[in-house]
Amino acid sequence: MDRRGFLRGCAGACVLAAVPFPAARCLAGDGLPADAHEAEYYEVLPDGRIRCQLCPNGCVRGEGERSRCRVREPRGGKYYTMAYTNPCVLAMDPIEKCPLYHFPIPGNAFSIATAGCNLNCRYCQNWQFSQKPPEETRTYRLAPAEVVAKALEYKAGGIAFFYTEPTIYIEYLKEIAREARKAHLATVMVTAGYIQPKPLEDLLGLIDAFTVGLKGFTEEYYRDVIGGSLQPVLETLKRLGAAKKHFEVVTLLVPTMNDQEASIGAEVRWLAETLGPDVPLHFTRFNPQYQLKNLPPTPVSTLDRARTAALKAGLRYVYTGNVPGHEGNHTFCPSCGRLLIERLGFQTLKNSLSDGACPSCRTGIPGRWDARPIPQGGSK
Amino acid sequence: MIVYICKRIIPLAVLACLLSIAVVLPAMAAPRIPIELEEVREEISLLNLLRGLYLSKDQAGKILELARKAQALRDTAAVPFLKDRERIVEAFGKLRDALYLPPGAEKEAQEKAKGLDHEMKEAAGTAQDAIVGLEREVDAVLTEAQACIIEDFKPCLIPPHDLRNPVRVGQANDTPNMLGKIADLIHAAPPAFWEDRGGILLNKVAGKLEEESGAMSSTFKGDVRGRLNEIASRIRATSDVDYAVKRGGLAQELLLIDPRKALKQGHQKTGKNARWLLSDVTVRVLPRWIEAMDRLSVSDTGETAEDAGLRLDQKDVAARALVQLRKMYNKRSQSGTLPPYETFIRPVVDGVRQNDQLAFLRGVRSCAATLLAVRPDKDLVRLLTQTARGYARWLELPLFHPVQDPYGLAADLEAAGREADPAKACAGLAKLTDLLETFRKP
Repeated sequence: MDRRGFLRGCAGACVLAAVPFPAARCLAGDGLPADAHEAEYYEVLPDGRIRCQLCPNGCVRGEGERSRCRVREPRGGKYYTMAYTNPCVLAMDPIEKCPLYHFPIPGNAFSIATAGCNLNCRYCQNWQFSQKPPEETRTYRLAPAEVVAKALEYKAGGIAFFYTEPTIYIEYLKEIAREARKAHLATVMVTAGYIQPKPLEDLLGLIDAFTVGLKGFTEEYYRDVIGGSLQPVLETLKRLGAAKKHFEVVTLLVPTMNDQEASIGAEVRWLAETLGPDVPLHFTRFNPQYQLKNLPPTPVSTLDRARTAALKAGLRYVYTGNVPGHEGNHTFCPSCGRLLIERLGFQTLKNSLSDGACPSCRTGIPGRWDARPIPQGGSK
Repeated sequence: MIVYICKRIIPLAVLACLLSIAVVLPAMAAPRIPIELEEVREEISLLNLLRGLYLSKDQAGKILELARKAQALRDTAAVPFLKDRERIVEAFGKLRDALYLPPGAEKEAQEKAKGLDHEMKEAAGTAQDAIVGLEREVDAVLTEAQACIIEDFKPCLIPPHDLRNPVRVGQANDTPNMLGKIADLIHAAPPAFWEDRGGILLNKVAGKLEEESGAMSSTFKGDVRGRLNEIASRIRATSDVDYAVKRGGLAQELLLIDPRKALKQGHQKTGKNARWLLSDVTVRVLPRWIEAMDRLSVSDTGETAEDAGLRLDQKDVAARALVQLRKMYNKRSQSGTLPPYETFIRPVVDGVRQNDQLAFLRGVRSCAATLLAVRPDKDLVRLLTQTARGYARWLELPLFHPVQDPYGLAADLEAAGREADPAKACAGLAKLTDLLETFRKP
């Protein structure tokens, strides 16, 4: 043993207290974790490995190998999800936190998230559980019906699939959404839109509103900072638009990374031309997090410039997020300029809309404004 | 109150002179610190806070406006006394001189000084009531998370590393503040342990409340303690799932008294928002801060992404623990009572292989028990001490916090370290690690 090894050995148990191992993992008799649930969206390859068909990562995994999203793995020729009934975050949140500004619900949303994510954003603000498998986080066993029962118990106006990428626990999400539909609760999915067409198609009938994180507008940015690619996200946005679902787009502006005028300009033009001027767009402020602590928070002037560019490109509802009190928190009538909805942070202070329209000039404001429980069979 | 007025409400030379009687005693006991240095310290603290608050320019502008209003209120409150400066100094001087004379001669001077003192306190209190109103406006400007940061913030030259960011769009509100941690400690404790030591924690909470709100009568204290007991019972009865949703609210309930609403001299007390954001220092610092916001560049933030890389690597730590256990095993191998090394170390190795922290700690605990049966020694005391700390770390509870020591367990751990007889120390520590196994993980 060399001197260095000896010294390290002597340090021994003194560092036991710092061992950050994950929580215990319960194994069922056949070696499968007790909370494993057979996944959907996969194919078995001729060599026995499994190809995941849930998101564009298209993971190909052999026995016992975990997918990139950290929640799915093949066992005995089948593909399993470890996130089913296994949330790690439960919270009551204002719908504005999603952010959804054109989709008020009665009361708060019951938010739920599991561990794991199919992307690896270097600025992730929930990395403590998005970049870990369920076994390494504190989880709560909660069946889909129990989630809905809890939401009702807390008088939530809806259920928000939130904080991490809900796509990765799609089997659980769909079951909860079905139960929520029976209970007339709205369902909201906050997603990066990094999903294959088939699973997305299956979600359209179950989810009432989407917040899609369009994280940047160059393939390089998606590759280097997000760990994914841009094109599938644009496809998701087009499909949501074609399905006439309510959705809002959010872009976190990270200084020096995706705040270039050209990139913002290309994004807002694409949104206006492809999805139309009524799609609400939120530019949010970055705060140093996770692997990008070396960057400063986004200057408000950058957010202002982005908002101006978007309005100039023809988008009618452009918001500024993470800057409470900013003018960009509010909704203005695109025709007469009247202040329609006044917000502070995640709070709506005053809503002057009358039947979803501007009380002055009667211009209709897109969104679902009645804030009533979702009628059975759909939100539209 | 006198010191408070002197420092906060009417910080003027005349009052400093008048109230010098009150400040002389502590000043004599403590080393003299130049007032300029104190001011710079205050600015540094405020700047550290501002760096962690991430105020928007708009927020900073609104707060500056409110801070200026507060400053104007303080100045206005001082005007009559500045005009009357000579009369007041004379009245207080007369009282001082009368106290050199035989008892009884001071009565008249006392009455006069008392009247003036009351007038000053009233003026200060009225200004303070108005500042409380401004503080509410500051509350409305801040996000909930920013308010939490201010509540937890302590003056410092170097800010704590974990000065949290405000909750933002899409961010889980996961990091509990001090109250949240107390609620976690209450919720996690096993029943028998809570019966035995719950009182220690609740007494500490009651003590803290008293510290914040001023001295309580014994009846009032009893009432506070009763209410804390009732809230603690509710927290303990809450299921894990409900606790996850309601933690914030339950934790907030522990704050039985809002110190800002406590009355003294019939006037309201300002809180930490006013302390930090409505002071004269704020009026001085914020304009420069707002100007600096526009100039902030990538290289200005200091912290680097490499910081994260300095943390201990999990596998490395486990490897070191294995080396240490091997060493302890070898030292006892002559006894002939130890199982083969592979059998001995298997629980620890399994824990490492499964990437399971609890199994790892249990493995270390079982190895320690085997080694203990042969011979206790100081190495084993250290191993068990660190295992106990490892459990606390796994539980994510500050059970061994050297200052707060919520249940008195840090004191137990320290006592075990001081124990001359390793056998006794090991027995105590083994019992402690068994107890920690029964806690609920928040």
